[in-house]
Amino acid sequence: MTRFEFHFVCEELNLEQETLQRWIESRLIQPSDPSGPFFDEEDLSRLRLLSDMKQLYGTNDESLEVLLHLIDQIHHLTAEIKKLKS
Amino acid sequence: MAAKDFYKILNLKKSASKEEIKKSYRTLARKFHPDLNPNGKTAEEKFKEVSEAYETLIDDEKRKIYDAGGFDPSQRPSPGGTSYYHQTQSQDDSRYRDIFREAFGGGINFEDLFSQQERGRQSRPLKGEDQLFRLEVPFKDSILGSEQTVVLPTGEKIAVTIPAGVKSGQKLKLTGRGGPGFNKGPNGDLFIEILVKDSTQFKRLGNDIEVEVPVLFSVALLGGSVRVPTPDGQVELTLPAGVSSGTKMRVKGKGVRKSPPGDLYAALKITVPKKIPTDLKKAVEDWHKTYGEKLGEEASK
Repeated sequence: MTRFEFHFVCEELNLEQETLQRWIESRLIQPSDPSGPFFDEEDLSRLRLLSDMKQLYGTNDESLEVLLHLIDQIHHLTAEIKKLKS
Repeated sequence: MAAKDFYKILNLKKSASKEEIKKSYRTLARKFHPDLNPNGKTAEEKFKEVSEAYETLIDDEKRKIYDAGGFDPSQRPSPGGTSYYHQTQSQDDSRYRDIFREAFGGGINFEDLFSQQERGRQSRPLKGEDQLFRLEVPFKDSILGSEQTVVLPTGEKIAVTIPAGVKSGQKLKLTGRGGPGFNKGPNGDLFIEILVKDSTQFKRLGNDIEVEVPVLFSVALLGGSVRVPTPDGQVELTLPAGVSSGTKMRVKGKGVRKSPPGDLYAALKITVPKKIPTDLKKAVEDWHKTYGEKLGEEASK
């Protein structure tokens, strides 16, 4: 599995290091390997969404937490429905 | 020449400034973001295209190469981690979904929820739907009460008793006349909302009603009888001599017909004929000179 390093992620997503650090501390992002930290594909996809929300919609950290929580609920429910259908 | 027209993709002129590029990109990216349009394949493609165009045009160097026709973006190596969030979350082993589930005590067990509902639907008797209709009632009926036949949308005719004293907005309940029950459950109820039409003649005041009655000045002066309209025909009312305009005479029991019934009040309105005979005029003038002027002064004090 590909793992991405902290600085690579910041550069790739055009993110300030402080922002990424803050998101990790507030547990908006929970790196797949906290030791590095190293990020996997799933972390990166979540970071890309966070970064887009921040840059495109001007969303602040407090609102990001609420939005991501709602989005996670939708994914959770979608997965449950899928499970039921099968 | 490059394969795609980035200016066209971002709705821009070739001379567009950096600010214009940023603005247009933000507008389009917000519209087509794949995580906000998770089922739209076109949205995702459009978003990628818009992002690609933006990344090239916002970078001075890349833009210069692109404008010179020397840069084919389709040849660009794709960077690491290109999945969108909804894509990683639709996989079975999504970590963030599990984090959410743990945080909320195992999430919701839909299997349980649905099967319970399914079982319920199969065996439990359920009451039918309640239904609501509106019925317009003449003022007279709201005072006297009446029987009306109402035709339901199903074609069924039902007799409805309008109780005396009913008011607009009041609902009559007909138990068991609503939608059919499920699994031998009882029928729903039928509600009829009453709308009382206003009367031009009568005014309702609680259980009493008021009506204006014109009285000829001579009757007001000498006393006599007048005819008073009521919701169920006219009655005769005897007036004493010397009544004034605005006096209200009570006609007992002619208001709302419930127990005990309300009363009807006849508000008297004295009328004077336009043409007054000379002898009458003369008599009134004499009287006015002797008594009227003094009485008029006292009255206006």
